[in-house]
Amino acid sequence: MVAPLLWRGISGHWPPLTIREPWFVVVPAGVLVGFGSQMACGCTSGHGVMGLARLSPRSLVAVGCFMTAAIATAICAHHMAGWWTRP
Amino acid sequence: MKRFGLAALCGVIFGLGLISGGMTDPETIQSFLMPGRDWNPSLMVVLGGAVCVTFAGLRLQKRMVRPWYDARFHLPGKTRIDAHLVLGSILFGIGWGLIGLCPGPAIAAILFGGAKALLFLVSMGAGIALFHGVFSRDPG
Repeated sequence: MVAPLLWRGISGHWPPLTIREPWFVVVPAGVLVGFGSQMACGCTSGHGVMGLARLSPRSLVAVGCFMTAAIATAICAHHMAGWWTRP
Repeated sequence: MKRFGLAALCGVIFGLGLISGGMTDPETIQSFLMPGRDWNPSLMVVLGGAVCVTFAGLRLQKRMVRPWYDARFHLPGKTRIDAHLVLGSILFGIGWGLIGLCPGPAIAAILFGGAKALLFLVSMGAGIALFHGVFSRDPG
């Protein structure tokens, strides 16, 4: 929370952040991220940065799983975007 | 107090890294996850860079007997690759792929992300609580 303030102070603008998805996509996505990161004991930073740097096989499996799932989801979501951005 | 200050400093450095790498914008993440003409490799570069720096940091850590402001290092002890790890990572990946926000950036975005980013953070909290509610009797 402090970092964006510093960023704002130095650069004069807030970092960009665009969420195009409607609330009924945001809510389940948040729940999945919370639930999944607890179940797997780590997220992109935990397994992705720390785990890979420690050469942990557990983290390598985790990163492989969430990357694959995320890419598949992003591609599906891209094709469904027309459906949920329609008024 | 020194311990708190150091933790806060680490948080600020991490946050600035996420912001300057463009990792707090879900569009950067989504354009990484979507292979194609507009593919943006930022995430790979930031994550790869972070892994390299952490790797060097860990070499240093191995030479230290104990951290500056704690009695010992707290390193993850689990080594088993189980269903929880795989299923949890897949669920996490689906949520991450849908929006392009993960816990670090979601927390960094509290002040500037707007209503949807806050909604995401609250939902994330609900997901965490749900997990502990469901599995409180059976620690995975």
